[in-house]
Amino acid sequence: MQFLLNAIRWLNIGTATAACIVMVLMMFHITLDVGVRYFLNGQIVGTLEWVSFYYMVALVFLAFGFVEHRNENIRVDLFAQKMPKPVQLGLYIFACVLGLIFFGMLFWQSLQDAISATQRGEEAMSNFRFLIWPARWALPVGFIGVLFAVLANLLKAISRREAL
Amino acid sequence: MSNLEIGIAGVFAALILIAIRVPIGLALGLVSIAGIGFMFNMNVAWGMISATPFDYVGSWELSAAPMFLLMGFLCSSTDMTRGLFLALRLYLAKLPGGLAITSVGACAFFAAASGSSVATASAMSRMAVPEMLDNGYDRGLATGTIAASGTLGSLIPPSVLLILYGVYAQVSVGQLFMAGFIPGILSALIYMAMIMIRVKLKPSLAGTVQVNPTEEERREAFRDVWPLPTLILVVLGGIFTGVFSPTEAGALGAFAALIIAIVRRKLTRAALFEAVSQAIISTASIFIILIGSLFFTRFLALSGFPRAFADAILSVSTETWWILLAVSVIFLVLGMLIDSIGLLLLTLPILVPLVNEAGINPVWFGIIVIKLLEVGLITPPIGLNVYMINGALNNRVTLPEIFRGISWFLAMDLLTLIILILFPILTLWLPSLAY
Amino acid sequence: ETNFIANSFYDGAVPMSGEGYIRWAELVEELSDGELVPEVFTGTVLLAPRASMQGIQDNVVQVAHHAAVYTPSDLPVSNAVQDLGFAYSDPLTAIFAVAEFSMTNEAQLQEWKDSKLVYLGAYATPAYVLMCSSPVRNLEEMAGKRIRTAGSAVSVWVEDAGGIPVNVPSSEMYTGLERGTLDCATNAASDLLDRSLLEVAEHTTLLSTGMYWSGPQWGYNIDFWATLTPEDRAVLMEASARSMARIVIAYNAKVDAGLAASIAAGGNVYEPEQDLVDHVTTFRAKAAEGAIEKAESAGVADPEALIGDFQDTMQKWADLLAEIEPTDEDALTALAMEEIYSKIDPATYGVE
Ligand code: NA
Ligand code: NA
Repeated sequence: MQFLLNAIRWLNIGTATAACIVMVLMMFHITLDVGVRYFLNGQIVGTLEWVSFYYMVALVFLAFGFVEHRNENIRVDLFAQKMPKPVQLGLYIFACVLGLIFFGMLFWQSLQDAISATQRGEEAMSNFRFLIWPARWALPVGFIGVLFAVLANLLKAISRREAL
Repeated sequence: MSNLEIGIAGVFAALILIAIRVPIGLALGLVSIAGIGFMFNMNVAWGMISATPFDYVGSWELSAAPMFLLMGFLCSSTDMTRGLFLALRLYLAKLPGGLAITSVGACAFFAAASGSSVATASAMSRMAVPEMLDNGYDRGLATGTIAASGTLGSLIPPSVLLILYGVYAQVSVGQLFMAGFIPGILSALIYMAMIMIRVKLKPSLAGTVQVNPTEEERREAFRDVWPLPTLILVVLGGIFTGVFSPTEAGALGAFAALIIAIVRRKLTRAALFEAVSQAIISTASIFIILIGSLFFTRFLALSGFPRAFADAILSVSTETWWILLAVSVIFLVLGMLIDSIGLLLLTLPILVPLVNEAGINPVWFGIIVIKLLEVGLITPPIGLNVYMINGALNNRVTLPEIFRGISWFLAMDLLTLIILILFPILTLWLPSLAY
Repeated sequence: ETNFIANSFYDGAVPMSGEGYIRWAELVEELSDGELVPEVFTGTVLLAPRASMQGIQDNVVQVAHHAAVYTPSDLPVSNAVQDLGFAYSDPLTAIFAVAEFSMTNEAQLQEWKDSKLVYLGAYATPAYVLMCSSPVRNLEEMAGKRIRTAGSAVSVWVEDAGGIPVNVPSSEMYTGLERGTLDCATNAASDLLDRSLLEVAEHTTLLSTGMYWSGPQWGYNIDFWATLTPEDRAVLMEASARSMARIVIAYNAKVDAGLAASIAAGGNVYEPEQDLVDHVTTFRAKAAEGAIEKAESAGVADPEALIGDFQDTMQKWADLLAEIEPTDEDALTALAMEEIYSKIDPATYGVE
């Protein structure tokens, strides 16, 4: 089981690292675009499309698993903290099961969408030909990361008999 | 059950799930899927899942949010506020409660470089609170000052909350940024005045601060003041003069923060890593709630709940004061329990139709909403800023002590709110100059 | 009583939503004696613009406006025909011609069927004109200008005419013009008022850079359509006919109001100078070639026939409308009923 938990951990760290790199790239790309516009009166064609369809999608979805892994999902702790420990554990397990259902559905549907977008070579409305189907794959990858992370947290909570 | 009843049941189900510690985005999303499944069928629910996340996340306007988060985290991880804080301290220390006033001022400056309130409170608490405590300040005043001034982070532009509101309510983010500026400064000035008056009346609150800087110390302090004002000049100057769009300002701001950190030789690998990973985590945790909220919007819209809610409120009176009162009560009650981003995204689907129907200026309303949300950050029992400061100080000051210190600031926030409601010009003057 | 959800992503002030959905819903209820009750959503509350077609297919909504330019790879025939938008400038002709073409041309009908939707009427924007912060009346003034364009055909033209085509969201058009990151926007002149462009673009040049009509103004979910009675369908057809007339009339009035407001605010409205007109004219001739190429690469069996059919239909309607007062709603409705909808059998159209 430790091996499994480690594998999940590294998967989430891996995709989150990719998200970090994408965010820094996005910063440079937009900065460069502004620079080219003001100093050279030119433009980098496709900045809007790259930022919206690739950078944003990748940096948001690829980091989902890491957020769950680090247990940084925003929750309201107030009432649960007043409960006895076993109830807290019960509520946590309940939340994890809901998480598995929700992210499982998101994974399944986004996978179907990514496959169909790939098959028809999906493009965006743009002043030029701009393929967006590859960006669709960030969703199933991100959601499967969350699924695994929820599973790992669930296993951890059960083995420690304590809510995370 | 009628669709409207399912909608009402859904609102309660979501609140209950949130109360039993289900993550907010998850609670909103699942309730919406189930609710739509009930009202129509699962095909419609699958359709929503398919059509929503990609199309809304892939947005040029929203991309300003991660950029401003990155900029703010770069500022705090490279210690960009310290010089300014030290300099302000030298000059304001002679005032009654000078250190606390310095802290409010430094928070306001940092707020102009950071998109998030919690990040603002976090950055300043590590620097200013120990300083005040070491100088014999009242523990409640020291921590309350930072918890409350941290909330300037979302009012003074840039602000992730304003970006989310603007994109959602289809109001120009640039206009909202300008609109938030004067209310933010006003809040800070009112805090400062309150601190001065309180310390004048009860000098023991502020301990005994001995500041007799030498000429050398003054020069030393001034040498490191420039980074933050420079950055603010780039970002706010760019937005206010209309040179950049908010997204561009965010990217340029992050880039400038990076360059400034390099020039100051503060950009260690650890600092960069901390800033980037914090920005990614914040962004993703906001967007998980955003996706849940987008589902919730569709679910509620299909159920007819927002319209029914708006009709119920408007049937009492269509006067602006009544609507604002109703909205304020909702926010103050829910704000005790739910953090600001979650609450904003939970309530927008219900409030935006109401505001449109009542013909209230959406820019002005947005600023009032943000101020209300910010109050929620420091009200018990759930006040994110308070927990954050408590954690940052390793429990050196207890939660009840912090909440006690905050009560004065809460009173000032209510005063500010009343002023903002009575004088919309304070909010709308700056945007009217530019557009 | 049949309740169903209708969606148009435009704001209620835009005729595609205002006339095409909000007033249309009242019309449908009235014509059906309360049998058909659409619940209308405007704006992006339910569906993002890009997701409109998917929303129809998934039955999230039963009828919606979908602009095919948002899904170029999914609706190749419709998008190929859209490329001819650059060659025309009269929305009245376009709206009825596109409706007839889209409900009679085999290749186009097959595309709707493959997309699991039933097409029941068109929209058409007014001709997009140049709204600029400095005068752009000839090729010399156009050189180096940064022009916000929507769509590939017009951006190719802008480039050829010496300008720089820029793609920014329409929400940033105003600030772009104000800041000087844009010199011109190409849009309907109604935006002078609706988006307050007259404050930042004082110079309007009445040069048509194309118009938009691709995709259904009313696209019905195919299964929902099948559940309706032929009488219901006939009602919806009549509602389409009248609403199309209303959309064009309202849009043209908005264009006139925008131009008048701009002039009243001290702005200028120009006719383009000859060199610019000539340049566009030569370029328009190539629009048909481009459309044929696009249709061919999308796998249309006989692209020349497709484009030819479209051009013939446009000509037919230009002739038909020559006799009619362009603001006469009843006459336009009657003509659309006679020439388009009376020839479609509500018992079989769109039903497999
Ligand atoms: Na801020
Ligand atoms: Na609170």
